[in-house]
Amino acid sequence: MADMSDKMSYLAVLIALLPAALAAQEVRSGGNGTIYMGAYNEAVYVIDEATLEVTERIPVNTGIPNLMQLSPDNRTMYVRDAAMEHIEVVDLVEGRSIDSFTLSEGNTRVRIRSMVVEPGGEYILLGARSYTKLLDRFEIGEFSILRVDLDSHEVTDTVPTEVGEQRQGANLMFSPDGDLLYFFGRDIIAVETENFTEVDRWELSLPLEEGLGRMNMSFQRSPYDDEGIFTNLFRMTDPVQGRQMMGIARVNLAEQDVDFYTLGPSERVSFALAPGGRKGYGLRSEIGFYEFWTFDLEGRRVESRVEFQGRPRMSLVPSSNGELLYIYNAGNTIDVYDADTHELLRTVWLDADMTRFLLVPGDAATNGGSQE
Amino acid sequence: MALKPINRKADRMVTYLANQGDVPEAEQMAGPVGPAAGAVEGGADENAEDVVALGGRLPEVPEIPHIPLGCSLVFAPGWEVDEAGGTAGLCQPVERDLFDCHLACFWPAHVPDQLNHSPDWTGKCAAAQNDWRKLEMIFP
Repeated sequence: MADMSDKMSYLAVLIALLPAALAAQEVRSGGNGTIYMGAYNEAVYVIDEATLEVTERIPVNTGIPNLMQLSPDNRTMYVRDAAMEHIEVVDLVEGRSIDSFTLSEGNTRVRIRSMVVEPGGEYILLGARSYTKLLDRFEIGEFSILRVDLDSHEVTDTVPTEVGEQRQGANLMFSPDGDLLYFFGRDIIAVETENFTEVDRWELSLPLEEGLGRMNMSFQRSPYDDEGIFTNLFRMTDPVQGRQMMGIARVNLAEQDVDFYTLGPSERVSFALAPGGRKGYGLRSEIGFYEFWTFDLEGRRVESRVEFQGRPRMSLVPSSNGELLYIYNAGNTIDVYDADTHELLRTVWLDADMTRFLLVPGDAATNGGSQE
Repeated sequence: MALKPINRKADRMVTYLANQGDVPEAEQMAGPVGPAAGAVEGGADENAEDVVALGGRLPEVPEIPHIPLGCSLVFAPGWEVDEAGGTAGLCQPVERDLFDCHLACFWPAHVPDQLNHSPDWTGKCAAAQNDWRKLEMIFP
C-alpha cells in the first residue's frame, strides 16, 4: 500500500512539473521580422522570424534565385538568377512572380554581376558584361553599368564607368529620393541620376589622419543601421611599423563623417551589427577553431571571445530583437544561438539549401529593409 | 676590391668567384659545390670560430600540397582536401560544398559547369545533404 502511495506521489510531482518542462521547450522568438531566403529549388522562401517556420514558398521562373533586393516599401522583390542572366520581379503581397527579362540575345550572353533598383521602381541599374560566342573564340565585352527600364526592359542609358574604377562589379546605392547614386569603391563617388555626372567625391582612399594607413572597409548595408549610416569593421596598416590593425568605423554618408577607433591587431573576424547599435557580433573561423566575438560599441572594446563548435563557411546575423544569433550559409540549416551565453538553442532544418538569407526586421518597412 | 671571407659561406663564394672563369658553364650552374671543398681545406683554421648550427642543415619544413585553384582535380567526394592539405576546412558534411561550388564557382572535376553546360544539375535535389543521390549524372 505504501508503494502505491509513493508511486502516486511521484506521478503527482511529474504532472506538476510537466507545464514547466513544456514551457522550457517553447521556442524562443528572435523578433517579429521576416526572413527571405533564396532556395535551390527555384523558390523564394518566406520565413517567420518568430517561429523560424516557412510560411510561403514563392516559385520563380528564371532558375535558382541568387541576388535579392527589396523595394523601399518591402512589397516587391527583385531577384537575379544564379546564371546571372535574368532579372525577375516578385510581388511579395500576392506571393507570385509578375515579370522577368534578360539582356542575353542570340550568341551573346549578358551576365549581370550587380544590381540596384531605383527607389521609385522605374528603372534598374545592372553592372554587367557581355560574352559573345564567335566561330573560333569568345569575345568579352567591357564591364558596363546599364540603366534598364523596368516596364519596357529596354536599355535606356549607360552610366559612365569613368566615375568609378574599372571593375568586375559595382557596389551601388541610391539616395532615398533617388536623386543621387553612390559608387562604393576605394572612394565614395556621388553622381546625379539625370545624366550620371559626378557631383561629389569622398576620398576615403586617403588616410583620415596623418600617420594612419588607408582604411579598408566594406559598405554592406546592415538591417540595423540607420539610413545612410554604415557601421563595420575596418582594417588598416600602420605605415610606420607595418602593423595590421583593425577597428570599428561608423560612416555617415550625408555628413561625410567617420567616427572610428581601433581595437587592436587585425584578426580574421567578421562583423554584424546588432539592433540598437550598441553591440556587434563576429565570427572568427579558422580550420578547426571557431569563436564568437562580441563587440561593445559603447565601450569601444572587444567584450568577449567564446570558442564554440562551429563549422566551415558560416554567416552570422543577429535576430531583430537582439536576443538570438542566426548562423546560416552553405546548406539547409539555421543554427540558433543565445546572443548572451552563445549556447546553441536549436537547429532549424529546411527542405532546400540556401543561396541568400535576407532578414528584414519588423520595423524595417519604413527604412527600406536591407539588400544583399 | 678584394673580398675578404668572414665565414665559411663567404669563403666559398670568394673561391667560387675566383674560379668562375675556369669553371665550365654547367658547373657554374650547379653551384659552388666543388670549389667549396677546397675552400674548407684552405680556410678552415681562419674560420674556426664560425657559428654554425649543430644540425648542419635547416630543419625540413613539410610542404603543403599544391592544389591549383584551391581545389582537388580528382572527382572523389569525401576525399577532397582543404587549402592546408587536411579535411577540417571543407564544408561539413561535404555535401554542403557541392551546391555552392556548382553555383557560379565551378569546382573543376567535382561539379559540372553551371553557367554553360549543366544549369539544371541540382534541379531534382533541393537539399544536397538529404537527397544528393538525385543529382543528375553528368558524363563528359
